[in-house]
Amino acid sequence: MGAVMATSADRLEFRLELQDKEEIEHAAQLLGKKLSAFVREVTLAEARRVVAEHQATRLSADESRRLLDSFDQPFAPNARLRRAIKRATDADPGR
Amino acid sequence: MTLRFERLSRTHDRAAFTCGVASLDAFLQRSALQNARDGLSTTHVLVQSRHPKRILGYLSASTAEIELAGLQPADRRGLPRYPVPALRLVRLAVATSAQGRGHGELMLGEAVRRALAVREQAGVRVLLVDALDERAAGFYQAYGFRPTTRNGRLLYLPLG
Repeated sequence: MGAVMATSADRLEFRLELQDKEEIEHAAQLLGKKLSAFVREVTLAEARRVVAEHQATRLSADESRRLLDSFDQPFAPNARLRRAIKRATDADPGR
Repeated sequence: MTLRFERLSRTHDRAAFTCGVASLDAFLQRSALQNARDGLSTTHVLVQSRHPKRILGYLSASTAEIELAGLQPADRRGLPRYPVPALRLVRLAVATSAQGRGHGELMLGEAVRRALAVREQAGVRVLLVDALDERAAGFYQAYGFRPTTRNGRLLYLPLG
């Protein structure tokens, strides 16, 4: 898309296996959607999820302070986490 | 029953893995190996010594960053880097047939162990986890993870 307004004029073309295409068409049908609308929505949702997963996490001011305070303390796992770590260590004595 | 962790490879039966959540199955089957090759994330699987091909569960981790907000320079206490480097447990799943045996706890323990090892090597200070739903978020909280205010499904554990 150029500097013009978004007019849904852009195209995305790609090759895929016939079997995959039929499977996608079937899914779109089940939801009563046009194939193009279905692929657009699903792809966009997945793209947003992936981007969110790779974005930096932003903490609030309070959380930031608490986190910094915790850096001054030694690692302090609770009883359950200590048990979990011990089990994992026991699962792999070779390392 | 001797359990062990292995780095995911082609020898593991990825196609047979099902944990009840389609997106978690699909990631293991289609993306996990490629992501590891591309350096995006690493995946380890839990197997039993006698059946090393059968995947009982898996965990995937990647690196991440945490941006601290509203801090005065003095409060940053000489952090070498800003944002703070973190390790992020993006996926943890237990096979349906192997659920209810504490494998989730074992794998979380492994994730924290790995995070502590990375801390020694690379100065990572925090382990982040992505919880799939409220129930998963509760699971992590029981082990001391704290939910972030903005997103209750994203939790963090300071590594000291």
